[in-house]
Amino acid sequence: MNAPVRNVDVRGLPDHAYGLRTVLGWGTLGFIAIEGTVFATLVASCLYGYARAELWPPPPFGPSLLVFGVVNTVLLLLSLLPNVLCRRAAETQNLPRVRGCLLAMLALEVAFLVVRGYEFAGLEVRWDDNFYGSILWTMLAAHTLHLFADVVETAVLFALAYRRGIRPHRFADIHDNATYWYFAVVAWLPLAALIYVLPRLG
Amino acid sequence: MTPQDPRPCDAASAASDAAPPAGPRAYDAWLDEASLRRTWTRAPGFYGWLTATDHKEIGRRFIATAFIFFLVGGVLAALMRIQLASPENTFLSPDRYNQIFTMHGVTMMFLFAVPMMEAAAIYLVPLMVGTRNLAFPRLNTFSYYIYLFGGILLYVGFVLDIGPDAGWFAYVPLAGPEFSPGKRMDFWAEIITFLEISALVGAVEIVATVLKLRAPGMTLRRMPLFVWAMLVTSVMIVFAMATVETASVYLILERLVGTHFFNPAQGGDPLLWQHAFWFFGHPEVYIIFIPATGMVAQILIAFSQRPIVGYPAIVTAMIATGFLGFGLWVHHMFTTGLPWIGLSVFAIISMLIAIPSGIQVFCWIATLWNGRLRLRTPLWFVLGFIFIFVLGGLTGVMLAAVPFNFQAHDTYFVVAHFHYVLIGGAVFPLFGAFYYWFPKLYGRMLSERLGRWNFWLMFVGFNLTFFPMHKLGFDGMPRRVYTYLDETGWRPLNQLSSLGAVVLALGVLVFVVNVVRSLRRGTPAGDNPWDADTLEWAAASPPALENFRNPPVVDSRYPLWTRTPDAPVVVGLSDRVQEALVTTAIDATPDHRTVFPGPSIWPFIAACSVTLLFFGTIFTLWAVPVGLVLLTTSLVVWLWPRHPDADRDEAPPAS
Repeated sequence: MNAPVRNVDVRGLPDHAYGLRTVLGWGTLGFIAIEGTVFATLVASCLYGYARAELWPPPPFGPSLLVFGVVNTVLLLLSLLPNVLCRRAAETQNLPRVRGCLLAMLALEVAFLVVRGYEFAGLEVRWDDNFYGSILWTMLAAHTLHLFADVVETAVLFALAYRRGIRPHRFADIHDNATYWYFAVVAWLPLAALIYVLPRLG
Repeated sequence: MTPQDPRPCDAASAASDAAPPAGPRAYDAWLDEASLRRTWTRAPGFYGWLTATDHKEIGRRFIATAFIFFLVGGVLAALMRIQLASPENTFLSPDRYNQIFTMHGVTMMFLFAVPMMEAAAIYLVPLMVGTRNLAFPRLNTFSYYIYLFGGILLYVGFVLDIGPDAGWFAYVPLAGPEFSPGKRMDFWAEIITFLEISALVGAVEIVATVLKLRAPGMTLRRMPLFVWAMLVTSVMIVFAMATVETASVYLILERLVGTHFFNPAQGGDPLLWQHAFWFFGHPEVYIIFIPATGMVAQILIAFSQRPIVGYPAIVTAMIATGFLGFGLWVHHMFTTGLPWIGLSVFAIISMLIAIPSGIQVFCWIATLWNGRLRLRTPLWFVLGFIFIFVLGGLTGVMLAAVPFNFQAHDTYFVVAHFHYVLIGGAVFPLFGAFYYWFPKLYGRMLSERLGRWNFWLMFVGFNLTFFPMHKLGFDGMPRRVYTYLDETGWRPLNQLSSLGAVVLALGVLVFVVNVVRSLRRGTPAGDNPWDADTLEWAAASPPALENFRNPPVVDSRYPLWTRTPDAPVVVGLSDRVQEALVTTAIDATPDHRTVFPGPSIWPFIAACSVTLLFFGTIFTLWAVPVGLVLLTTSLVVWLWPRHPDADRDEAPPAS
């Protein structure tokens, strides 16, 4: 007469998953949305100033050195390769490959920061010269801070990957870090266009 | 079933090796209740208090703190009403008056309204979706301390006569380095920037909780309307707060290191500030209002004892409001000389947003119309809300008309309008929500008799205070003036308004008395005193540390009204670690298990580091590197697993 109660027994379910199946995946997406909005506000502000200016950059300043933009964009695009491999290796829980890819990414990220340091040192315009200098410095600084945070995260994950007995859910963290890095690369492209291309359009 | 198979399984088919008999009781022997309680208990004492991660404890703290700020903001409002009660009054100096109206706005918007809505969600959402904690519990603790420190520091500044004084929206050039030298507006810019961090991480936690931690069976179409409201609101917070965060960083840089974002002489523009601020500032209104509509819906369902009319329409209206809310910020800037085409577009969108709000109002009225009404205090507050909010909405449509806006801009008509919208649209529902959910939080009922007094005093007091301001605005009284001449003829209405403020304050006082009295001597509530429909009422009052002994399974939009005594539950979650079930985002089918990190001191230390970073920057730029090093270190230690060999405390064995 009474139908058996069908409880939901979760003992057989996995204790980890990847990407948007996980709580962390949605958290990562949330932080990508926050940072994306910050970058979008920076882009909008830059275009707002550009639209109001007669000359961009205002004289006597010239455009930012293209070489930094090219080198940094190439470094970031190159980092996509270990990033893709790292993401896949995390899904298959291939620890040696994860370690190698994390190391490669870390090296490229640090190289980027070094180049960025030289770029800051060589900037012709100061943040307190005019609107152009203010927005240029702010865009570069915001992006540098963003990359610095990711370097720290990659370094922590790299250290954790070298400890004994890494657990499956740690691979999910590494997977998420790789997803986040896609955003870091994609977010750079419009900023690079504004920093290096827009001033050359006049 | 394989570990990769995300389908739900049941008692009969899953535990093939030792399948127990069916029914929730059959699992009693499998669950070590003492162990479960131990797992979810925090350390005792002050250290335990600092490290707590339970969403209910943090939620209660958030609510209490936000309510204290509400009272303080109310005292500031009372001071303004005393000052304006008679012409040429010298009760407050012009300088102090500037600080007081700025602090009143900042307090009510940044320290009360948004945090209170998030606080309600932090407490209620995990219970309403049937899980054991909020996603990212440590981040939640971090968020609370950031908020607490930000609020305290703002008031430290105010008490030391360095409180901000350029209005809650800090327009440049007034708020810039040239016209506001000194530290006052530094306080505003720094503290707003880091207060928003609290709101942002809170929003991410809520989105992740709503989308991934719902009880099996709670599809999006069965989600309680308050949960829907918080989902929409949290997404709005992400986009709105990140924008004002960037803008307030511009202001910090402008003031501290001499940038030229807002300096027209060097290519900047003061209007850039207004665009960036109102791109956040207008959605902010809906960030406060949409959660209130969710509360209203829950109260209406419980007190009319029937399903809500037009659930899909209400959800659609919430989402539409969320989208449109970002498209009308320019109506705050109609008088700044923008092109006419722009004004027309934003006027149309400003009027358009009345449509989803109107749809909701009609659905609420229809629900009341056909319900078996129980006129208790929460419902009185909802009825008061509908009356006041409709009036505020109508003056909103008036202000959306550009020619009228030109006339009414910066007058008391605008003050009347936004208080009708914000107090009517958020504070009244919030008080109704206090009466509705208080039994769940504290296990006792609030007094119904005092509740009626509370409502009527607030309702009459509110209308007495703010209705005359419409007329004062028509008569030309500008906002933000510390006094006026008797010849203007504004005295009688200002006195009426100040009298209303006294009545309104009495209403709030009755509420405080009611809470204090009921906490000690209130009638014990029982699990579900209102015969309500949502899952939080299935938990004990107040809920156990783990919320649910066995998390529930949902089979309808009104689960407590349709469930049977032997309704299925979730079984098999660990009692040794803080484990929760993760379900799919749309259909809420079981997907995998996850483990919440337990209590930790590092969120507190990280919050101290952020505070040092921002607050210290007001005085020295060295605070930036020092704060960054401290923050990075504390975040790394926070995330670092405790056991050297494989995160043993974080993840249980897969079996």
